[in-house]
Amino acid sequence: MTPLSLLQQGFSPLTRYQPADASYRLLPFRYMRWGDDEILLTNDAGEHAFVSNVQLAALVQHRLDREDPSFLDLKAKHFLTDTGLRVPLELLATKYRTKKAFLNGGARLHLFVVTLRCDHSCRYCQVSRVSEDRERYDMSQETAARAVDLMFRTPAQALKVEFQGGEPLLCFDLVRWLVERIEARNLVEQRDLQFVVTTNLAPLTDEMLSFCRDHSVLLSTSLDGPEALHNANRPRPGRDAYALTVAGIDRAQTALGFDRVSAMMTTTRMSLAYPREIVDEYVRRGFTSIFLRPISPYGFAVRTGEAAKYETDEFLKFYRAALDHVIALNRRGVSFVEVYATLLLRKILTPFATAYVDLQSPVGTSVVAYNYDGDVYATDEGRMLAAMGDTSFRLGNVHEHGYEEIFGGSKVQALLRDSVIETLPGCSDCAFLPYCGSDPVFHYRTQGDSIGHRPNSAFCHKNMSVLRHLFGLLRGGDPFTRALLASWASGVSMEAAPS
Amino acid sequence: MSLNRDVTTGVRSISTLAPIWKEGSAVGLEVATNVFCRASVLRACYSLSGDCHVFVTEGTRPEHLHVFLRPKQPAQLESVAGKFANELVDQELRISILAETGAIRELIVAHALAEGDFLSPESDDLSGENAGVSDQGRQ
Repeated sequence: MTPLSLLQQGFSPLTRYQPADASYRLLPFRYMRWGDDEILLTNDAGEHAFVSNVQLAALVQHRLDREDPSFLDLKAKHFLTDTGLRVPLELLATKYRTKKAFLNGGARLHLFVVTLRCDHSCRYCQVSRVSEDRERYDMSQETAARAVDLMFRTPAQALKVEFQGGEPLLCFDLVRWLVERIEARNLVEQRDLQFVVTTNLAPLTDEMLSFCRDHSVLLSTSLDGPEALHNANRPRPGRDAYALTVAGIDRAQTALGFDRVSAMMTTTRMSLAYPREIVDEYVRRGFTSIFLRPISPYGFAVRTGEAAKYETDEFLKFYRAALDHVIALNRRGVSFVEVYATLLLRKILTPFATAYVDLQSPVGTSVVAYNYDGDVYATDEGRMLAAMGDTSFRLGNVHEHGYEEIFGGSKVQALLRDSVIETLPGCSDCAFLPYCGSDPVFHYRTQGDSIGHRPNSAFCHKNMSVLRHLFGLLRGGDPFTRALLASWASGVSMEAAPS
Repeated sequence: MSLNRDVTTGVRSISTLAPIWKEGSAVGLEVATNVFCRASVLRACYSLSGDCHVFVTEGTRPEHLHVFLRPKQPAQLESVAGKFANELVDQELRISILAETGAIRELIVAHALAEGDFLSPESDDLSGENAGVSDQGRQ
């Protein structure tokens, strides 16, 4: 048949494309009760829909009428099909592959813990820093070179190299050496590189700033809020942590640009009373986002008891108050983003995955942490735990083991096995599964078991509560709030979005 | 734990329909396994295991399980029993949905992550016979 004759033949009548009978088939989904008469449905592709109790009952009994308002929505989102399986399965498989894209290509984030030395004495420090003058806690060039070799064995095209500590700027000669070595090697490797230094900015010099500017190195710092709060959380000799940090932020923003400097906060017991003030401090310093983080139960946060000082519910109250304030700021025209909500909203409202490890399933392939002594971990939390004397998540050592032994060994396999959320009790049936993660190190640390017991898990409680809050805003929020959250998910500002 | 049928006030009105009784600080329920499969019962128990100590044992009648729930914090036993009963229904429905769609889920994951076409031409058949639907989840 020629193209012309095909054209002359025209389209088939509409009935050709309509199902022959009223039957439909369910596609895989999970559900969760939402108030008295609503049900939240989700599927593995991350699609969601709200239906009534009556609609759910009709849906699962295969008697949902095509005229029901929910029918086409459920069909479009692949909760059911009435036109055969092949097309929806192809589409669902494509969506699922997109959601799991972080599995492809191996580790993208490579953490180099260049030193454990630090000039701060933060009570919530998760990495068990040591005092400044003990250079035996610095990474040697030999160790660093082996770590670089290992990193370039990873097939990922995009490599993010993050220098951590302790305080990595106390070991800046090694940071410089590593950046130059990696750049030289990359002339052949041709990967997409990104460098980040996680620093308190106190030791920052003009020479360091020049180097960062010349080599496109991003700076990520800690800012816990207003001066009194920041200094209380992050003591250092001279009690000038805040002054040094904000001075460093100003200099770095001037030298590198506002988009090249970011900050993170950690919520202590003292922070709980200041959700608005903390957000305002970030706005005042020229940041366009804040990542509201609870304390992680590692390192000094455990030894000082800081990690146990507040319950998850108190953090959630703080989180919601801060998020409300962020939304209010946006309503007044201040463009500002909360990062954790954004990570979750991307999973809820877009087809894409996020690089954030705590919300991934499985865990073990996306991140590599090279400790100062050459030990290799599949998560940053694994090396934090090792600093507390528990090397359960140590994959090997760059001096003793090869790539295959480290990344194909029994430790990685166990980590992967225990972190597939689709198989975990309490998670496998949860409607929030497509948006959540498993965090096996957290559960090992807090419950003595990588799989953990979800009904008592602070991780589960936090994520369930934040997700419920976000879905509540998406479902029942005012039009401005819904549009704002959608803009965070898409990364397109509300001003730029088509109306 | 003896089976003292001292039915609590709150559940007495439905006691002829639902065998629920008070056992000290715990509430006991008898669940018919020809209505709710064992997996549903255990999943419902798991979901309440954060708030309650849970014990499951064979019932005194064939094809029945006895579930005992002792709240870790003071709580209305009627409310605990009601929450468990609703959770049981939800878990049974989840297992029913999984039985109908589990094979499709496996097919989607395999097709998404493996190199190769796992979808046969028969995949368009809505009857289910060609999609390899199994009784997954029921045990």
